[in-house]
Amino acid sequence: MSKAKFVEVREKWKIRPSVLGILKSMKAVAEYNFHSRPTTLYPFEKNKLPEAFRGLLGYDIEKCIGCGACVLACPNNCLYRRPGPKTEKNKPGIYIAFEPTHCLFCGLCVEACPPVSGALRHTHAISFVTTKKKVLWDPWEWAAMTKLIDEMGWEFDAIDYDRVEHLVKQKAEEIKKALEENATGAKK
Amino acid sequence: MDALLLVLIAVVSTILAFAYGGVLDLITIYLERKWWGKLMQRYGPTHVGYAGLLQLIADFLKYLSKELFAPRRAFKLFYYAIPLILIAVISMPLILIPLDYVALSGIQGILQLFGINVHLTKYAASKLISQAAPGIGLLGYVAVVSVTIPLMYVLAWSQSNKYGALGAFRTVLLLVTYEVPFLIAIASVAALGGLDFYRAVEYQKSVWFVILNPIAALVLFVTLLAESERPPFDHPEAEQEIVHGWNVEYGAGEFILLYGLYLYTKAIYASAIITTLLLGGWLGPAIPGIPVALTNAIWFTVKMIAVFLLFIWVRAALARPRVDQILELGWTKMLALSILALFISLAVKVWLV
Ligand code: SF4
Ligand code: SF4
Repeated sequence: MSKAKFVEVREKWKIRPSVLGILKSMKAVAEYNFHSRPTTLYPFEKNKLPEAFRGLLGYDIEKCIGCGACVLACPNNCLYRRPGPKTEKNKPGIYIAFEPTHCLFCGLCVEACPPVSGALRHTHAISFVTTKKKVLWDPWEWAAMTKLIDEMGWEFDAIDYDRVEHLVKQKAEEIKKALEENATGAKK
Repeated sequence: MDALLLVLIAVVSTILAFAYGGVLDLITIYLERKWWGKLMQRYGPTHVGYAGLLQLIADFLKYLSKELFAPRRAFKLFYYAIPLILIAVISMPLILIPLDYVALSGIQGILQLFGINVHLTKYAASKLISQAAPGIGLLGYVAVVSVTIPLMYVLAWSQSNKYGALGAFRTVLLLVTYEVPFLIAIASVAALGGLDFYRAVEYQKSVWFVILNPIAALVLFVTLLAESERPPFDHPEAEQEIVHGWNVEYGAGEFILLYGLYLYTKAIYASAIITTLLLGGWLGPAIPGIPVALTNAIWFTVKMIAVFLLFIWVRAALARPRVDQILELGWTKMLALSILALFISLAVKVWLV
């Protein structure tokens, strides 16, 4: 589709230096009055991204069943198992820690994640910036980040992690507490 | 009338014309940035004010806050003086072309809306001038444009920059080339309606000259485009090859004077001349409920802006040809067309009489 567009433009600009050519080019230019612009006013308008866009990984901690398939699939070894409270859904009590500074956004872990859980997905956060050399998120922090991206409208946006780190830490505490309340041991 | 009153009238109407020209400058530059951007699938100014309306003022203030800077080898006196002289020279047509008449008539119309009946338009400096010496307005404009040629040379020399010199040479080339067909086209319009702006507008009550003589209109349009250095005749400026031509060394306030005021004022004169000589000036259908004086001002402004929009459209559509192609166009095709236009005008005049 995009190829056809280029051909069309080139056809339009095959102009001769004559009166007819001048009129033709003026007509071609006037047509742009009715075209929408291909760009957006980025920080004020959100960009539209393709549906298969592979942004920062999102982790839904309530859906994870603790199978560990993603850890095996990751070529970079940037996913780690971490023990946590055992719940109805997550019987072995294993959660996934994530090192975003090491991830290559290949999406293999998302494919490996079994459909019964579907805990992993790509969010639409465009970029993730930090001054730290290494960021390693505990499962709760990772889940907190995912929730914050949805809640604060950071989708289609660049995230300055240094500025939002305290928010993430705060949210992580809440998530951990909620998990512990739901834990199977606590219920009995 | 005694001399003091005349001087007062001249000063007041010059100030009014200046204000009117300034407002037109703002409108046209904004339209140019916005619409040209749209035609190139860009946005143009968006952030300052509503839809970037105040962007121009912001740019203005930014340039004013910069340091006035002269290169080491420049001849400082001329370097700083010539832009001022150019502005002084180029503001003369403000009262030669009936811009002050339009401004005064707008004020008169607004006063009439509030029930105050005054007859301001007969005090317009351009009207007084045209009564005293008919035709001095148009010829004066041509003379003022020619005065800028030696000033350009001095400007280029005082900068001691070869890009500046190249730009100034190109300005002179363009002016000399297009002055000839411009004069003949003006002669062909004058053959229809006389040299005087007011007389020419009077004659166009029944039919506009652009319909009577479209070829003269074409020649006048192209030559005025060339004289005001608008693209595709922007060889003196030629951002891509000689950086900014004759104003390459200027920055800060001087750049506003040369680029914002000088060039755009010339473009506004061009559209004003096309409006008065070809498009019936301030004549237009009456709008009910609004006094004639105000409709005059409205129609003139609308027509001028429409002509300027045509300038922008041409700018967006056409690339800049080589210098020799431009000269060839001027010396052969435009000259031939202008002579043809003169003959058409004479034939139409004979046929009408
Ligand atoms: S996207 Fe690729 S590198 Fe990143 S965690 Fe998933 S499998 Fe590992
Ligand atoms: S593959 Fe999915 S369900 Fe399994 S541990 Fe990883 S995130 Fe949890």
